[in-house]
Amino acid sequence: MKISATFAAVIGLALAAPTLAQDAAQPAPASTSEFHASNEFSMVSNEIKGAGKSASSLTKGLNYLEVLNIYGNGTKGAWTYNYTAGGKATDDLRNDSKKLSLTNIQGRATNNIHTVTAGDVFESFSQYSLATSLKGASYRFNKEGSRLPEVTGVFGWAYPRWDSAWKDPVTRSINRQATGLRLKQAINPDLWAAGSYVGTKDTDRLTATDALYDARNYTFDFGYNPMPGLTTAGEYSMSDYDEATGGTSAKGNAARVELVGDADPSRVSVEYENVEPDFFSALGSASQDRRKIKTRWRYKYTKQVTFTSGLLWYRNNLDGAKTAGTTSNWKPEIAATIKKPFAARPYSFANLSYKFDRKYGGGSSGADHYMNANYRDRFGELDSDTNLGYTLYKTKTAVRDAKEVNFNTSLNSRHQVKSVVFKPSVNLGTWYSKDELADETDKLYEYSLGLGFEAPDANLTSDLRLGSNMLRKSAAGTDDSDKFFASLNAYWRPRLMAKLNDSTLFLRAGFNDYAFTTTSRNFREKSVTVGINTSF
Amino acid sequence: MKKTLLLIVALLTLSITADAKWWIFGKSNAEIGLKYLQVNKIAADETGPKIKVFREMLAADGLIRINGRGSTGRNAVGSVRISLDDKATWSDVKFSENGTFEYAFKPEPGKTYIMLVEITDTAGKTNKVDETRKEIALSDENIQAKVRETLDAMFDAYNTESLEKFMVRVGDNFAGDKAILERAVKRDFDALGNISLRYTINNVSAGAQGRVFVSVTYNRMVFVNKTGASSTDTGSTEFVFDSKEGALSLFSMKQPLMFGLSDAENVATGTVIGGGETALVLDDSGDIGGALATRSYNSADAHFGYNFETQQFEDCDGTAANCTGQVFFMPGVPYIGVDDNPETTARIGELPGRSASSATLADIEAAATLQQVFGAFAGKTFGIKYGADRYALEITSLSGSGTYSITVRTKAF
Repeated sequence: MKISATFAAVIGLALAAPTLAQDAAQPAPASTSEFHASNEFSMVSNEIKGAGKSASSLTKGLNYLEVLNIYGNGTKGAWTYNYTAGGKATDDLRNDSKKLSLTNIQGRATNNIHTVTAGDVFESFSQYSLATSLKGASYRFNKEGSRLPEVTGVFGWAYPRWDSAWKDPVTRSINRQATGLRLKQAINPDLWAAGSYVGTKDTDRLTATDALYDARNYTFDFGYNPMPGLTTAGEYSMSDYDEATGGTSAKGNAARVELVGDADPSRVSVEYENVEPDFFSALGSASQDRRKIKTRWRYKYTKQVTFTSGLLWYRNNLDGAKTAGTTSNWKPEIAATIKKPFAARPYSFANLSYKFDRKYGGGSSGADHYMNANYRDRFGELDSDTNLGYTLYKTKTAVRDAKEVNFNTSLNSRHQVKSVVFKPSVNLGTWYSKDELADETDKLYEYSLGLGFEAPDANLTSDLRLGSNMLRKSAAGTDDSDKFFASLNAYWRPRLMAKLNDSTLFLRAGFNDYAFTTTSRNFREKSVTVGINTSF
Repeated sequence: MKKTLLLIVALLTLSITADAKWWIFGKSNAEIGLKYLQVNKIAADETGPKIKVFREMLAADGLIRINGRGSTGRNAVGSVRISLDDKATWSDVKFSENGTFEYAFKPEPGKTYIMLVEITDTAGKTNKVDETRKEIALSDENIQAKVRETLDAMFDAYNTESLEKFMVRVGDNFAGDKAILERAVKRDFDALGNISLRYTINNVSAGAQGRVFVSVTYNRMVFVNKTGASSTDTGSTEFVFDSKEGALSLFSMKQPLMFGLSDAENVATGTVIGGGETALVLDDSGDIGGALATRSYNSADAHFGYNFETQQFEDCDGTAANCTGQVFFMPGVPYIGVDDNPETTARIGELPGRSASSATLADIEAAATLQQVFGAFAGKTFGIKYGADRYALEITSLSGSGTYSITVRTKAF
């Protein structure tokens, strides 16, 4: 109840932010404002038949989906403001577990020194500290041209959606309250540094085993341009958390630094990262227990030829506590991109790449090779795109030893008859896998035919596609499968609706037929969606 | 570790002190140019030739700000001019003694501004103006429409198993590492067929640093090539995107994962609150690895059990036959066993070198031959056969005496 009241205040503030801006304005000349809205309503009819229909991910029957967004902005005296709000309604639980939900709401006002935001607040401090959205409010002080630091304060809850905020039984989640403060100072024109604090506290456990964290992150980050074309950036974060359910407390550190040199003909980057196993960031982004070094070099050898190479190394078990041992990974790669490999063919383009994965330790030992060749060209009126890949999976622990080959080619063309454009296309593909451990093979064949249609004078576009995928397996007791599919997407912008700036009627129809060796798994899906998208 | 740090410090020092013309970068401080140039606080080097700005990412005053610093070698900066109409007209820009400058203008939606920056030193020499050329446009789309366009493209690329089209949407600074994600998605494509992945948006929030937070409800069906089996699941997850050149590029993903299921632990950075780790994952063999769950428990005494079906610990006593779950713990012995449940054919065995996420069905079939194991320590993983069901259980922490605190990660196959 207390939380709901707080959120009512947050929403009230979000709605009132523009008004507050107007009230706070100095005596001012005429105010200006804009208002826009977009709406999409669609009806979907799905029909699923066959003994295996429970495997379908479609919801049978007639369902609707309505998505509305409004946004606007304006000025009043020295203050400017903007706002946005949106909602979603559906009766298909696979679209959303709620029939009616508020998707977003935000109000923001500023006088170029003070900025207040309420509702959905995404103050991205740094990768380790705060990199997620909150439902709450923030304040920022930033006086351009002064020596004063930029100050940002934020308070809110890290709910993934608004209905979690008012404890809806369906979408209820634990309550993660967050407080953050960041000070950023430009030390000189080439160097800035920032310090931030983010505190989170979890309450309202849903089940007896839900982890509840009380965590604090203290973070320092910087950016530096030491010379033209070279930039460096880095971050250090210390976490300190208590977890109530398991009764654990720990402190951990994470650090990363990156150097990027970028000027023709090269772009070189070097990264180092070290995230301790006990580092915890409730609202940031970090892969725990990882030490990583990464280099990447892109070199434009000529106007036509570019080489790219990279090396990624990382390992876990930084504290040596894993009884399973340490797992290390090496991932080098090299690629060459060649424009016009054949001088006489102006549209030819080739890309060759080789990637390698080496993983060892911790009970694993694998060495995988990925090779790929891509060639694109135009032959007369046909555009072609062909891809050939070879993958070798090899493990010493007999987890996955396999050779795989995949081949895809597509041919597309464009034909104009008066003001109407036709775009026929053909796609062919195959995938072959030889499982060395089981001594079995899998083969997949696929083809599709497409026909795009554009009539600009009638504001009509459509795309028709049909094809089939066939999986053939040699292993006894496993099913072969066939899928036949057909789809039609059509979009029409009728002139009748010209008053509405951008309105589109759309139709999406699809048919999928799945057939298996075990016929009791067979099923068919028919889906038709009609809708209208409007904005002004 | 120390050697690595020393190497990094040495590289940093070299780069800072270097004033020679690096062959690799082709620039030096002696040339007239820009030490840096930013458009709305995003480095122009990182934006590409076209910059599309969304309304939601402008400052509240609606202005696009261009700031930078002229670099003129021995001479001082004499003038800074900016053109927004492809050199047709120029505006003089105020600059400070050290060459820094800032210029702001209010863009009109749908209009494209061709920006060029001219730096002249006191001797009259100018920079290579054409190298600063950028096309700047204020998008008349709202951010929701852009998010949908981006997600549509990513989901379509994943559904059609087009690795190149998918990776185009992933930023170079992807938090879980782009190289790891690329290989994981490639393995997904080798493992899965007939992918059907759909979504609806729950929440979009644009904010600082040009980043966009997106929460979606997803609905997924896949076929596993290795077994021919199909799998469906639904849930909600979160993405963060970076805005660059008017396009959104993926910055991070949380569990439950949509993409990169073959290396979920390394690809995901964080877990959606309430989302849990119950979504589809692929194991090293290319098979569905089952749902991962992490559970903690403080025991009331020295005996307790765990039920894989309810994913709950239970306070029970093996000899009283009140355990409903599959495994029974007596850490004081230290004992873990399957011989105190109704399924008399149940078996357990240690999986050396495996975690709950890397354990495979083959591991469990081979190792689970005992009724009890005396060695229930933190860091150990066990495979369990229970009727037709197969489970992996990893003890991630275990402490106490008489009463115990335990955390396990489990996977049901």
